[in-house]
Amino acid sequence: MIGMMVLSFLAGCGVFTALRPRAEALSLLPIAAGAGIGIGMLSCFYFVYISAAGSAGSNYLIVDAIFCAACAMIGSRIARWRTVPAIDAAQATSSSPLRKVLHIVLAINVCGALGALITQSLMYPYGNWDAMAIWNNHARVLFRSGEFWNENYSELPMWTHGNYPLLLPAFVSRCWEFSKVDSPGGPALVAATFTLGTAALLYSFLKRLVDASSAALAAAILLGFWTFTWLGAAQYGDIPVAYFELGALGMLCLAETSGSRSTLVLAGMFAGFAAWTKNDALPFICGMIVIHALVSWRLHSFGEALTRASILLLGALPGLAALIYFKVTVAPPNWIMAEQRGIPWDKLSDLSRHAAIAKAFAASLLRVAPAVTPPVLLLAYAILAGVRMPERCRAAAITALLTLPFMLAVFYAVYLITPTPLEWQLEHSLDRVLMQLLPSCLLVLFLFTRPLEAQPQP
Amino acid sequence: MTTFRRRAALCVVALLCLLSLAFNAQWVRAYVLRKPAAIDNIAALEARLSSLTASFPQRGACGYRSDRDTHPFIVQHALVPMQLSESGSPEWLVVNYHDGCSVTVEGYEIVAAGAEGVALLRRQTP
Repeated sequence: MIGMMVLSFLAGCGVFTALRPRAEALSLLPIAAGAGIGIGMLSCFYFVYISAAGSAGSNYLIVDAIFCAACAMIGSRIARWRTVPAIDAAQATSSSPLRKVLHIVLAINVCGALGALITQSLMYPYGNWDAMAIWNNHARVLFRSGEFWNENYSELPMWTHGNYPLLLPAFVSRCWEFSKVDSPGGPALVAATFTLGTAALLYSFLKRLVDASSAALAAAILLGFWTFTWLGAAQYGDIPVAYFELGALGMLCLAETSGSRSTLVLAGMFAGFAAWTKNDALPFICGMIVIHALVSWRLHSFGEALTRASILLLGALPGLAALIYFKVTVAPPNWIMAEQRGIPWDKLSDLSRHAAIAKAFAASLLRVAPAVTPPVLLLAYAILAGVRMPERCRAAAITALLTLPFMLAVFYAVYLITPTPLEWQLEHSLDRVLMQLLPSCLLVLFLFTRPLEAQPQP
Repeated sequence: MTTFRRRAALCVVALLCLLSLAFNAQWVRAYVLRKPAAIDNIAALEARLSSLTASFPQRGACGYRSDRDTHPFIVQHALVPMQLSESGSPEWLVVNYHDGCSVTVEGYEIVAAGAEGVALLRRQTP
């Protein structure tokens, strides 16, 4: 199982090194980004393979290994052609007491998150509710059905949400193909990768875009959110979505800072894989590309906006193509849309629904509870430290800033028209879906906040 | 930035660090200090399940079609009757259910039950 993760990781690292920003030398970023890219790519590859061949069969293992090796080798070859300047000496060597303390806090929280992931996996080896009923269930159908996977998958009962995309189930099933048994270790390993990978991505982006202290503080806060780490350990799909959305926005900023078009492909790739993970992320990719095009048009030119949108779409192609094929050929109808009969004017005009949703949003966003960092405190930090405009990645940062309220508006609209009882839906999903945006919120917050240590402006 | 604002910002950073560190107490209390024996129960159940499933072929079995559903599978949901009506009656069932709920499946008897919401059921012979 670990071998399979390593193979996909090597493939992901290969693609990352081929497309990485030029100024990005050796750091945590290739590891953090490569892990997710590898999972996304191999998930698409597995899905395409079983769609074309009917089932995985015995040849799949060889084909998979060849694909991973090819990605890793081609990536490293391309990386050799590209110049990678040395890290800024001041940034690499300078240190301060504040930086040291924040890194110690981060190290404690990383160990804590690792402990939580391991103990949760031992106590609940099949994950929690959504993991059992949706993600691992779908993976098991793919793995156990053999040549009947399409037929069986199409007939999944409504409650298991067969319409959800297949990034997680396909990758887990791929791991099981190698181990020959659907053991709970596969999903647990994937969950740990995404949980710790999100913190590593956030740290890497902020270290590059702001400074190491801000990066350590943001990553420590993220892991300190009990709901975030719990959802990761419980094998829910929201944490992989959070990982890919953060990756898309962070890569967008890095692409602009380094002037690298190829990194824009990576941003699109992350966004595409987010959509291939969960339906919730489909508006994200649309919103991010449209908002970035509009901001680029405003700050640069129409041609530049068109070029950037095209490159983002190109990068998103693997995830989007797999998603479209899945929706057209395999997936049953979306349960929210299937139960709508035209525009639900009665729900849209029901003021009590608006009030209930607004109240639940406010309660979740302002919550003060033990072991939960209140968002108000984060805002207080931003105000006290001072707000700034990250000039070197202005268009990307504004895109990230605008994409978050856009996503909140999408969630609000979905709650407004949901066919299930509103109170129940809010109680069981709001905290969870808000966690999808938490890492990106932290990225934006620290991007627009002046670092406490004297550092050159990005 | 004035000295006062910088000090205030540093105080907020310290508070943020303390709150994030409190998470560790949370998970230790939730997992480590709570029912440590439960892990052993699950492990024992898993071991028994492994020995049972090892004797069945892994492939060709899926929980949703009665004609191919002759092997054990994981129901993983509280809506067991709904699953069974759609999938026939396999000989073995492994049911995950919410803590605090009881498992009653008509025509099945509980062979083993873990403390963390996992139960192994076998079809009763008529």
